[in-house]
Amino acid sequence: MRISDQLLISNYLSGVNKSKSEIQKIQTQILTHSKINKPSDSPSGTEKSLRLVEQLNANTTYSDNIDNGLSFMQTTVSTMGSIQDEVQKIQVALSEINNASVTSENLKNYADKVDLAINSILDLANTEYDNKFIFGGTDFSQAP
Amino acid sequence: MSVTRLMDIASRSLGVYQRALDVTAHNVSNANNPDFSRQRVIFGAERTEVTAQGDWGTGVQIEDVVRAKNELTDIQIRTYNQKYNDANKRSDILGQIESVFSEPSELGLSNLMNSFFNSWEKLSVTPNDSSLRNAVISSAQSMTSKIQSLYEGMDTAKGDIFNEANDKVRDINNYLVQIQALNKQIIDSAVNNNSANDLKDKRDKALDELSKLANISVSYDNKGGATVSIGGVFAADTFSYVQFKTDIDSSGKLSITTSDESASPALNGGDLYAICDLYSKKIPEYQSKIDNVANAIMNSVNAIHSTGFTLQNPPTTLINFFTDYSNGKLVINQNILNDPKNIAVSKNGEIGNGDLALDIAGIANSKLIEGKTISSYYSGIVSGLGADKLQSDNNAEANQLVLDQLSIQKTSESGVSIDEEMTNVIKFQRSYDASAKLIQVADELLQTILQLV
Repeated sequence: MRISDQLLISNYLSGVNKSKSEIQKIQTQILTHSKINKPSDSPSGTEKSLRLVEQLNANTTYSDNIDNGLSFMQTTVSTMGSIQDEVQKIQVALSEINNASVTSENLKNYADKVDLAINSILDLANTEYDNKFIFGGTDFSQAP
Repeated sequence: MSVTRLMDIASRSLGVYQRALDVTAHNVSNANNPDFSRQRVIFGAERTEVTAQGDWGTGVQIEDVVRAKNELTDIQIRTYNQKYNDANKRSDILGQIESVFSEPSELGLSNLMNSFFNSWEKLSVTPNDSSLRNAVISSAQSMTSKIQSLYEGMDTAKGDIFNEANDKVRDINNYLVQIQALNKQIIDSAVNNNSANDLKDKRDKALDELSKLANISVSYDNKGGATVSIGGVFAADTFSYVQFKTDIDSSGKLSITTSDESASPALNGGDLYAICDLYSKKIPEYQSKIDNVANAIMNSVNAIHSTGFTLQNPPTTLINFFTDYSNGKLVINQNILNDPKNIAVSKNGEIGNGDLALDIAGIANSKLIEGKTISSYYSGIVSGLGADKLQSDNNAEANQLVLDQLSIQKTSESGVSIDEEMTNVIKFQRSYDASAKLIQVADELLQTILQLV
């Protein structure tokens, strides 16, 4: 085959060009830390990655909501516990009134005690979690 | 049988070798001109003189100066030019559209649709929280503006390639004018027995450029004039040429026609085919798919949202979240933008009921378009676009390889080799020297005869 000077030059250039475009591709991958930067890098991979990211996002939101619900329930449970404590206090007070020799002085004491317990139950009933009244029903913007 | 015959032969060959050196110099100086085909001098014996003493050779003459050219390679190069430029242009334009989608990334529509539906899911937990309501609105806004920018990006791409089509058609027209003029000059030189090598190179160049723009076919008449047709429509010969223009028909399809609209070439190669095809088919197809996505979102969200009750006192109902969709513009209800309380997610009018928000979030999982969920339909669009681009890239690369090979063949045949030319220089110079020496010898012979007298 006859080799002309043009041929040598164009051969060389097209070789260099090819290598450079490979280098460019790999450099983009290194810079962006990802193998798929354009849909055409891998059409099926893009579809998969979009689907996975979507599921991931949905799951994150879902688990956020679950966390939220759990904390809400925990607050409710501990508030219920406190209410139970107060109810027990009233119960104890009432049974003491029933048994012991009660003077009017004493009675007033007990009345204060029961009053105190009822007030704290009322307070507990208005417990808020994340600005929501936990015993407010669906419309938790209003105090029950 | 005289000494002057020797003088004659020698002086004729002086002229011939000088001309040969000229041709060589022309070759050497065009060594870096990619469109140049090297020229060769064809030597031939001068007419023999028949005398009573026998046949007398009368020296050398130049029969012709020809281009070293393989016509077949040229035809193949034009065929692959059409294929390569078609694929390459497609890949360029699709690359532009690909960047409009900006997938896969945080900024892509896929992610923005996710955030939109997730914001509803979050709202379902605390439906009367105004910050969550605002989050729904802002995620809806980013989603609608991305849909709009996708749509407009493709419109811009269409506008750009329409302008490009006009430029290319103008180029075609210029080349056709040029080819007709060159045809004329080449035939004129043929009349004067000139081979018009450099003009032919110019015409070949114009034909090559033309083949990058559209599918052309070329035939030559016996005088050397080229007849060009584009997509089956006559374009230029020695006597006339046709001018073309772009045309957009009523259904928005882009094509090219002759300037009197009497015929339109059937394109199947070159830049213009890629442009017309993408403009008329592919881009509208992507846009209509985006329409499907936007309509599905609008209809399904509205269907649920309109049954819900707002946070207003008293709660109102039958409110659409999106009011309209056309040409990429998905419009959010202005009342909702003004007052987030107008988002209706309460199923029964009770404040704090967020069941519908959950239903709307559930749209993300329902199969609404062609049996697919909205987001998987959308990722289908993106991967389809990616596959189209990848295919064009691969086509372009494959045709590029063939073109490289062909151009190696072409330069191997037509390219100038400096070594070869310098060898010729030495060869011709020696012959020139020898011819000069012969003249000197003839002169000396004459002197000798003269001294005899």
